[in-house]
Amino acid sequence: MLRKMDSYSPYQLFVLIFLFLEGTAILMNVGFDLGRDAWLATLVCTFFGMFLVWWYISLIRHSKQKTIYDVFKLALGKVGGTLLGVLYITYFLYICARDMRDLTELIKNAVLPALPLEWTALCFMAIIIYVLWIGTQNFIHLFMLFGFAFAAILAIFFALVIADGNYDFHNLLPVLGDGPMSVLPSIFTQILEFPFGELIAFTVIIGTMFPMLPSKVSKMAMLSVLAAGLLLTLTVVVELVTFGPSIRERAMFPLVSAARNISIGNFLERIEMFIIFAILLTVVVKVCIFAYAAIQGVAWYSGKPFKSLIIPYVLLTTVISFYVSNNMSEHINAGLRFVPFFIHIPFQFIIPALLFILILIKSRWRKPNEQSAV
Amino acid sequence: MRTFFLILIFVLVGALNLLCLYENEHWHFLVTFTQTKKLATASLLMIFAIAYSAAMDWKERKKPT
Repeated sequence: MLRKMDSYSPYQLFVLIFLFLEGTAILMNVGFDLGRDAWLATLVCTFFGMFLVWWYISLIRHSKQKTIYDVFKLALGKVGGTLLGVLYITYFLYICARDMRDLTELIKNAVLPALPLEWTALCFMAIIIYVLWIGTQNFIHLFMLFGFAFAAILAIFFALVIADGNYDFHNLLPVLGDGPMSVLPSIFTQILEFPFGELIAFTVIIGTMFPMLPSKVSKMAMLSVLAAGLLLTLTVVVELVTFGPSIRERAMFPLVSAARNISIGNFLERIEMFIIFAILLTVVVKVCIFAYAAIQGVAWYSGKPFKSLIIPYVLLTTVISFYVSNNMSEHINAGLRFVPFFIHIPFQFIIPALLFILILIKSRWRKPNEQSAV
Repeated sequence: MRTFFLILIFVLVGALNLLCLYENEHWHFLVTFTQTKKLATASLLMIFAIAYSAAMDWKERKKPT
């Protein structure tokens, strides 16, 4: 049972993590270089993702703090903690800008090709400012609605894929044709970081949602990662069986292309608009959570109210999103090759691991001292 | 404090972005900065963000303690 002081329900956390993970991962070509084994890599990463979320929650619980910024201060002191905190704010804002760019590119390439990218970004920026402005409790309630809408659209999409009948399961064979070792590098340098490692943003939110961090929260978070991972795997399978690994590898937005292929009786067509709408909902969630994580950090270090920081930092993110890359292909190239290796791995695994070790050592060292004092 | 932090974070995120751009596109990324519409929008947004932060700081300083 949750204690009374936790005003959020674990189900809300479930929806939040679920939509966050679907976010831009459902849109992008996850495991594009793995061909027909991309689904298997996603499935394997789901289990690593469950471990990751448990580990991030344990980091907060073990240090008895609310956010990762408090953990930095506890582990490294005021100066070291502030420096590391500023780096993490930078990281969250940069990833937020990249996600914002994903959506604006989707709108530009698939829906409104004549509309300048800047206009889409400005409209999206206004949505993010509004969502953050209404407050944490309200936006979490809003995301619950998003969750229902997303689930309904995806259920209809899968039903239509089956009804269309334009699929071939032979596209999945042979499973692990190049051997299991061919899949491993992409698992550890690509899919694990994007989207599962991005759950590091929840180290800022989860402690404020559930100050006591009961074990039910960890279980629900792991369950959510499992559900999101299974859905991601299913979408990759649908993409593969619909148009095969070679076309999927070259597709910019494979799920949108798979939805575009659906044609039932030459009457029910252009389903991709619904899919784009569903993706829009999940990207709003993802961008809001990254922006929230960054702004919460700024509020923590500067001591200023959260609301007064929303507008400047969302504007800054929008500006960075304009300059994240020159065009879509370079954006994808950087996002799937450079960013996971040089930015995600240190911020998602190396620093949290070092922090965890440091906190463990400190707590072990403190215990004998306390006993000797008694 | 608010304005200082905003500029600091802008410089850091900008530097990280340039690093990624350089790694990915070498010096070709400079083409992006020659697009005047994009540059004008970005400049206006950044000026607004800094002015907003400065105004909030000024309002806070003016408030009687």
